[in-house]
Amino acid sequence: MRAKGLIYIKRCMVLFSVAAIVMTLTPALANAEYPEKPVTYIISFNPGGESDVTARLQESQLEKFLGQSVNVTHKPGGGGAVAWSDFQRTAKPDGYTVIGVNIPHIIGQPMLRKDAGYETDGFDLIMWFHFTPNALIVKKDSPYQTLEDFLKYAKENPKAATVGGSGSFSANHLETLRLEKAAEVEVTYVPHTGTGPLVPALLGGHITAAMGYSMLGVQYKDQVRVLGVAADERIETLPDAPTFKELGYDIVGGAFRGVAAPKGTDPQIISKLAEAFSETNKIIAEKQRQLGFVMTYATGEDAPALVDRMKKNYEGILQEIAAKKKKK
Amino acid sequence: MIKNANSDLWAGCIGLALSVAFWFSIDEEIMRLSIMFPKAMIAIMALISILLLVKGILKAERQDLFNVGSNRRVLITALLFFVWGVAISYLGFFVSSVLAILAQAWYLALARRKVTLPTLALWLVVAAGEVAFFYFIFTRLLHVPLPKGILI
Amino acid sequence: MEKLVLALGALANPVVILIIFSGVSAGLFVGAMPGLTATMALAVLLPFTFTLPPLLGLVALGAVYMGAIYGGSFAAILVNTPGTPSSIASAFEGYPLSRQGRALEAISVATIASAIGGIAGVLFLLFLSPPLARLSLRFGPSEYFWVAILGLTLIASLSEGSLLKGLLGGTIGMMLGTMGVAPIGGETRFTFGMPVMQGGVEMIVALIGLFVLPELYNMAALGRASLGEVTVSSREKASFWRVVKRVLSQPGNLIRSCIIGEIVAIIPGAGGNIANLVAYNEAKRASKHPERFGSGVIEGLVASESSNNVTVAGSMVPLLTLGIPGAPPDAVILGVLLLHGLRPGIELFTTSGVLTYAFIISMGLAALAMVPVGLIGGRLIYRIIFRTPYYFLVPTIGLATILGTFALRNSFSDVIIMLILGTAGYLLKQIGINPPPIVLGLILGGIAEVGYVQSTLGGAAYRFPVLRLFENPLSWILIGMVLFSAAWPYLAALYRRLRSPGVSKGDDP
Repeated sequence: MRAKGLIYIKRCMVLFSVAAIVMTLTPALANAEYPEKPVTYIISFNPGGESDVTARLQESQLEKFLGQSVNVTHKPGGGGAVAWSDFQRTAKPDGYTVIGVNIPHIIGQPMLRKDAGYETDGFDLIMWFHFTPNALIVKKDSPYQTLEDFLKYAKENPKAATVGGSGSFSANHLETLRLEKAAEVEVTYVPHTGTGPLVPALLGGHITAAMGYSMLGVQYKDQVRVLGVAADERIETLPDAPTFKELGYDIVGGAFRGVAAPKGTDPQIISKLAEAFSETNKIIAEKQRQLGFVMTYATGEDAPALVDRMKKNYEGILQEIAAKKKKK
Repeated sequence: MIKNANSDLWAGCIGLALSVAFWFSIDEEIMRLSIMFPKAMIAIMALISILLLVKGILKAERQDLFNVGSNRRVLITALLFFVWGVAISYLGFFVSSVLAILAQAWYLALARRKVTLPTLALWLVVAAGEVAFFYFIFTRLLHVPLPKGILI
Repeated sequence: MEKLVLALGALANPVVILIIFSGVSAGLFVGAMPGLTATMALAVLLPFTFTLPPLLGLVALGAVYMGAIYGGSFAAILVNTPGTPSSIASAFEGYPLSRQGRALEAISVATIASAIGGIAGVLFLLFLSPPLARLSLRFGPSEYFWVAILGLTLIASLSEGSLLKGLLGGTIGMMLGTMGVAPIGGETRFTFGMPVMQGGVEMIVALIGLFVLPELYNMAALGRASLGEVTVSSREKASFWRVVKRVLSQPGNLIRSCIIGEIVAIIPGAGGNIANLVAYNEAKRASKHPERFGSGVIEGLVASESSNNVTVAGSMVPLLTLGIPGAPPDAVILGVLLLHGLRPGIELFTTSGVLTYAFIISMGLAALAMVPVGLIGGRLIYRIIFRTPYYFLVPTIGLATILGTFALRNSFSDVIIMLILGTAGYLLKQIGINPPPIVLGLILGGIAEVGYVQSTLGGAAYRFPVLRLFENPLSWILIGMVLFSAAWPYLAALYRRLRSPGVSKGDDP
């Protein structure tokens, strides 16, 4: 009897130690490949969109410059707000987590939503790497050949012209509002849940025009006509599209995309990341330009400065919206 | 086990309670665009709930609730799941999963067989192996960072 | 024509075949795990495709996609949980079949049906793209709204038991879907003071919670697993040729389901999630014995699994011709195309024609590859699950679902939401409010809302903006279908009463 008991105990001990070894080794083995840690790059939108495509292009280049692998992960929801609020709440400022950020989203959302869950200034910005200007686009067989044609229609038929765009209080939306003000017309803005759904709506004739990004005009060159671009100069891949400025409306705007780290990250880490992203930007510039992106290189102090500049740009419109909401 | 319960009445009450909860959590400042659809839905939900209450009073469909097997086992299993879920962020994914699997397997097995210490030890190894398998797939193959608490 | 031949040539390469088989297997695994979706699998695969030449990358993605949509049926059949939302209806018949000890038969049926559906989708894509693409553009906000309402009328036939409770479940699902950020308007609602709720309830999280957890609790309550042992006669019936004959013996069902799958596929944003439910419903309606559905009717399983695989290639019609993703995984494929400088449109079929045709055909091959992979894998999985004692099955499935839920959005709170919903789902089930209507409401609520709001915005200049919903001819057709579908239970009862007067079997709709 006693012997059997001893054997049982021995067996247990062996099994327990095996378990303990497996439990400790596994994580160690999992990490053994990386002498230091890989970096997590969070995208606050669904895969397939502009932010995602860019991140994928950047991913492989960044690994060369940083010497570590970069893992792109997605955390969609709330127009970006879910990822941004979670980031500001939980991300550790150790340089191993960064997140993609967008203007004007991070300006507009905290300003207009009662509780966006995050603050515009709650990030340590690393860099703004590109800009996609807004563009007013119509179907190729639409009766409106120029911006003026469209505005004439809008003026004579208030609210009848429908302009689709991605999101509410987004770059597309705010630009439409600014155009309305500048041209003194009234259109109906129809929000869509992203640039994706905007395309069939436009091509299927369900909206009169779309205020989307330049990338759309380039991608669907054969099926659409760009009436105006909200940039300082004409986009090289859209040589026939006039800028709003040329046509007399001083409207420049679009979405800036960039990357940020949690507040309080070591400035040295930030500049290393900024350098990596800048170099990456130069390499992927050609591919991105072909898709209609405009590259920017706002690092260091230029980054928050850009945010302030855009804040001022949009201030008027945003305050009007805020006031209208309170009146209700 | 709740015998001979008026399930229509229960359903109607729950529906009504939800309608009320949703309705009164609507922010007064919210724009019409964002809320017109949900408001219509809440109204429809309330209507259906009232119809259920009426049916419950007039032509009740009575049934026995919670009459399948051991409710205590369900409760404990549910509890263990929640503890597991919460433990992940404190103890880390690996440790909490192994412990949770062990705990659930042990508790549920008690209903069917005797569990001796060596068996338990074997299960510990199996659980660790399982979790390790999934851990590798998710962190190495799919690049999904799993939550690390104090431990792994 | 010559392009097709050249395309076939490009595919006659052992590397391609290897990629197809491994892609299908990987997709199968992903699809079978509740919580891992096809989109996720593709998103993960994406970086690897950068290093591959365009054709191989696309072939890999197509194979994984095809395998994943098929794989969802495994979990649906064996554990009553759809592995992907495209297999929700497969559980309705598949699971009862397993309980009766006919699991292998069910798996074989699902395999053949999926393969046929996959090939059908490829054929649609190859030969009918242009007219289908034009049709897909005609769907505007009003049409989306009515399609969603049409989907909701399914609740009527899917709610076994009380219609009122089914509808209540549907509205609960819709309200769950409204939590978070409004799709139009962008403001947050129903967060009940928790900023984490801004992200709302993700559909997959609810799907897993509402289907898996009650099943696990059920096993716990009973103290045993519900998987019945496969009987000898059933094993015989599960043999390859017998299953093929069985599936092909009802061609009407098969053809109808494939067509439904294709129509739904070309509506951007709909996809497999909805296709399987509509096809199932139609199969039930067309059957001589609709009341048998829910107890293990092969036709229902065939309808569900064939229609959802049609959507794999089917939803690429708008993608390849217009650049519009027909379903979420297509967005990833679009990304790959753009990355390699391939622009959707005529160019894709002329200049890069060989590549495109090769890609499309490779998906057909993937569908074929599913048969051996699925039959072998299916038996393997069945054996593993059957041999596993229930007290290990519960926590292991729990592990897989917790992982899958977390991996979805890297969100720990999603896991908690899943657990809460699942437990609530179990309680609701007790009083007769079942998961399918709730999930249906969740899926369709968003589509209905976006369609409704956008449509009425489009009518901003009218006196009654709502009238915009009734403007287009396509809307009229859909409205007609809605009325027909909603009235069906009553019409059917009337029809039966007229046919056999005196036999007063009143159906409670």
